[in-house]
Amino acid sequence: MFLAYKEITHNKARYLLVVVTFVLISYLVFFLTGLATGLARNNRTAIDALPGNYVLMSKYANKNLLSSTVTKQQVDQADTHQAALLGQVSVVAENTKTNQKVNSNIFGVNLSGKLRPPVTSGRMPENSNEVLADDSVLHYGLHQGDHITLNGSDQKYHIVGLTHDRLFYTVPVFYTTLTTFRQLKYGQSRVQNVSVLISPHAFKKVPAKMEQVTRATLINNIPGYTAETSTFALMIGAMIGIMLLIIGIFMYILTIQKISMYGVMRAQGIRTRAIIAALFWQILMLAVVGVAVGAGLLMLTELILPKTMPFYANSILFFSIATALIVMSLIGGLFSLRRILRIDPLAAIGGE
Amino acid sequence: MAILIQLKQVSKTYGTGHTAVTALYPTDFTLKAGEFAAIIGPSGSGKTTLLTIIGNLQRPSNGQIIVNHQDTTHLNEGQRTDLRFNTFGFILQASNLIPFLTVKDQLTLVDRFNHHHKHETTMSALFDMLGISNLVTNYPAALSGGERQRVAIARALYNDPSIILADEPTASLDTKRALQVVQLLADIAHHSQRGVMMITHDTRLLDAVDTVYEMRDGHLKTLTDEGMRKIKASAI
Repeated sequence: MFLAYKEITHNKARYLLVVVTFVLISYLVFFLTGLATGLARNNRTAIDALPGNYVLMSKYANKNLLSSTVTKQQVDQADTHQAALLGQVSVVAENTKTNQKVNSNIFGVNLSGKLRPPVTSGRMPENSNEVLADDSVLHYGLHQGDHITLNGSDQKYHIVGLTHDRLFYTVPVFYTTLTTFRQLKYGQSRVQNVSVLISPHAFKKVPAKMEQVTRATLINNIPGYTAETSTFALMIGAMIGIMLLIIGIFMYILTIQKISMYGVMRAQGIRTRAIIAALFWQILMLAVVGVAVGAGLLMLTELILPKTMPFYANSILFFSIATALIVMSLIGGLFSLRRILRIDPLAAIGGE
Repeated sequence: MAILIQLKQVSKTYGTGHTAVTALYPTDFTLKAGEFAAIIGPSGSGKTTLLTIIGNLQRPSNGQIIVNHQDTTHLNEGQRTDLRFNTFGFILQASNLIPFLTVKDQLTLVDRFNHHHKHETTMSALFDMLGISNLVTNYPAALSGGERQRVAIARALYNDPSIILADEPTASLDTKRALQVVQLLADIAHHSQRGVMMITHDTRLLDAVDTVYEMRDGHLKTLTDEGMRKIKASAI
């Protein structure tokens, strides 16, 4: 540790370059991670909150909640003992005063049933003309107490309360009655259809033309979701791999420059172990400082990010990413290891 | 006087078959405590090969090396490293100080890997003796060639080795400094009963030396007074 520290402080400019590399890569990786997490969450938080892991839906719907329609007859055939009914329709909400338009979802539910969301502000809707909105609508110009029209309806709906973290397909969810859902989706409320059934237990009876999927499957089949998350995962993985290469090569070049010095140390009777320890201490110090500065920069960036930016800082995930970056750079040090193990103290003498 | 180093029929051959080159023919050699020995000879004659074999930096092809009554022939690399650490002090041509450590840290570095600490007084006595007490906080880049060489000598002596091996320790010094360094090595040998062995090209430095050897094409022989006179005459 002594050698590692002394060398870094003596060659500040050189090691500053290494630290800057760490800072930039870790900043980029953190930012991508935050963005990926945020985007993924915006697709799915309302689904994550469903009160059960089993979803019964139309077979033709290709596991896509947006396309599923379950008829009254099918609902009756299924075992609905513990199941909750959900009706989803994509709508545009329009503020009646400001004409501000917001892409959103209607989740029609039994307002006193299992799908009832927690109220963070205001109260639960009591009739079909009232809605509970995800609080992200505040960023789009809708507030508690506002009146909205849905899909250009004449009917006005009153936002009576707010809930938190209820987004689906990247847009906010309005919770209201199944009646309102049916009115919006089918133009009349006498059609007794719903979108899907949700249950904490596997459905024992799956009616004809229906299939049972898990909540995770439903999420992975949100159009674009898997493509998006796998793209981000690939980018983040590649950046961590690039980190290994860059730091590995950097430290390798620095090691080669010091071969003759290490030779002298070996001749003096200093063991190879001590030289290897110095290398890894050095990488650890540079990596921890670099990653910490990168994380600090990201926190500052978060302050100036617009609220509508889908950025989410998951501290456990960030901690794992930081650990992965540091571990990868230590693995990068292995490139130099072979070189250090081969150091011949004779080289110090420059033998004849 | 105690025998520190004993070489019995030690030889070194590089390569095999047609390409084999003999750097050192079977050689006997002894270094006693309190003795200051020098090896002269042209480049490529095998001087450094002999020095590195004595210093356990490389193994001989044949023969036996006995250091402080211990046969080192069958020691493994780790044991040889420890032997170097505990027994030998090396002073090398280019002084080879570590660029990012101060003069003081150059010396104390070995303590960190050894977990035993010398007394500050030992170190300052060493610095006083070498006349570099005022340089302890300097980095090698700020020192002159002679100062660096003296730091290298201090570093070699710091671990209290019983044997000092010096390869052209005066190569980068002017005559005055070179004579001082050689006198210092002689004092170290004579006053503290260490064995000192020096390789040099410079025949002007041989007055302080007890035993002079000449190396020619891998053969080592003791130089007689007659031989010394010839060499000195040719140098002038």
